Amino acid sequence: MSVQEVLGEDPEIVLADKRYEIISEILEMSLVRGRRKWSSSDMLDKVFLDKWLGIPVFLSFMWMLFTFAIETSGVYMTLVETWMGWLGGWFTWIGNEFVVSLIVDGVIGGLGGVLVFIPPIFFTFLGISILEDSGYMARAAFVVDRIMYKLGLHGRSFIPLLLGFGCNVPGIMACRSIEGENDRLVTILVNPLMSCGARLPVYVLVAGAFWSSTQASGVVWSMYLLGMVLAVVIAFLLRKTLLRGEPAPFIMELPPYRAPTLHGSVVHMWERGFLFLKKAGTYLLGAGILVWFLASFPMGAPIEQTYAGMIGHAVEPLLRPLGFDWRIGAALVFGLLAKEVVVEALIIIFAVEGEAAISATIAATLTPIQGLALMVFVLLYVPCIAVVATIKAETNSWKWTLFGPVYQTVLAWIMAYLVVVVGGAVL
Amino acid sequence: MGFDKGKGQMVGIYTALIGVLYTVLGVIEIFGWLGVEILPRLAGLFFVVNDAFNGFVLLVIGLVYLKGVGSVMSGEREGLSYVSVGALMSTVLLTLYVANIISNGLGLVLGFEDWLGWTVWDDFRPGLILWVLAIPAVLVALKKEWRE
Repeated sequence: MSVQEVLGEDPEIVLADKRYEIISEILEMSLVRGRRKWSSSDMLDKVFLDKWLGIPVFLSFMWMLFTFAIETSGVYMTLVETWMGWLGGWFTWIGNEFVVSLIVDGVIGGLGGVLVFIPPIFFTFLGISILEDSGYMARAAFVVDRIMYKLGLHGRSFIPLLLGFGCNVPGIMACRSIEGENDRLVTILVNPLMSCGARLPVYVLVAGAFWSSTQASGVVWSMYLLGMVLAVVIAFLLRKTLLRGEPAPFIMELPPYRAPTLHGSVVHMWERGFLFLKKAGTYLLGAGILVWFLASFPMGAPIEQTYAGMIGHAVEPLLRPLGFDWRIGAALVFGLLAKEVVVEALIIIFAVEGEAAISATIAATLTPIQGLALMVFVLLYVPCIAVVATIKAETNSWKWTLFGPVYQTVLAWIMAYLVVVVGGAVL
Repeated sequence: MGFDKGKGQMVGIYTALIGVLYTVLGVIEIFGWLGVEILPRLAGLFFVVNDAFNGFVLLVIGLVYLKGVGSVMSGEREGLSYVSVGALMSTVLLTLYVANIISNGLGLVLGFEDWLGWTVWDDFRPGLILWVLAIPAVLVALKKEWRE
């Protein structure tokens, strides 16, 4: 007979109840109570933890966060783009056409195309920092846990999933805190469905190509929401099939609310944003040069006959039903290096300069429905190699390492196809 | 624990009015997005832009206010939680719109092409005007005496 059967309840809950019972007894004996104040924390928790309003309030704050990140950053993106354009023009004094192409198309065109998205990325991190510093995120974890637990996700999964909004690598590594092998595996496998910061440039680019900034922020918000919903649905399916079992309950002490300080929130934003800048200066720079090389060689060949063109044509038959041609196919393949590289690759392959030009090209190449399908595909398809390597390191299993990217790519294709078919029928 | 019932009824009636306004405008935004125009004069007065997501947030704020009405009217201090969080969410939404106006204003000042035709009215949203109407609710939320 197990401890759970003897107690008739989960031992962790019984232990927690006993612990608080003893604390209450000691307090009763040692504390002279005054008239209890109805604190600000009590007031806020009454609504933020409300059974019916908790989740809509959380979704509202998330929408406000993405609206702030996308609508407000438009001017600053133009500012960075103007500066990049000026920098690109400056290098034309170099006589050698090959070197100019490498610097202007490969480095400034490709990498610069991603650097344009620094403002929305930093604004997103600032918003998340404010929500975390205020103590609200812990409440969000509590509220979301009610649904997650019912659908098979361990309560402790929320924090790794939340970290996945920044980058899936630390999100997956944070799963170490989850007890129970199946609980941990489920969370690792659904973590890449949480939309990381690297996908944001793709969303901003594609949504901005088809919709006004007001509508675009709503579309981007819905991508994050779709990722969360699918993470819960896939966790539920895994729990019912491959990784059977009940998740352990979540016991969490809620921190007090604090007014976030500008200094604290900016520091936290910088800590996260600096990782992106570091990645841009090293990994994305290298990726940009690699894509430029593959899109430029064999030397003098038209773009569709370059190595990038060959890669794109190889995957085109699979992507054709979604409305994506070989150029988008090639960009998606390069996205395996890092999701931001999709934007770099699109700029290099379409041979355009700047965010406005690539935006116009996307709008001319795809319909709005296909654009939406592209965003869904980028959200869900095989994660970048760093994430795959982390899954291997954390699961120590080739089976699960291969399972993750395969199920994600199948899911991405099905969901994107549904968007194309249903969207096409409705509009 | 409660508070003066007379004050509670006053706050309750006002909260109900604000809650209904937020809810109605949220519904108008969502229906407008779906292509169904309702109460066009009210929509024009509050600068409705037919954005479903904006409408959803207005609707949630409205429901937060409305959920507190009953308990505030009967003098229960728990009801003030809803007034306070409604006021907080209204203010965060206002801050968002103001940040957007400042940012777009900067685009105009810098003379960027996409901002040349921009006017402050382009960024007017129902949440801006509703916040002005909700100021008394914000003041109620800020009063420390409720928490004693």
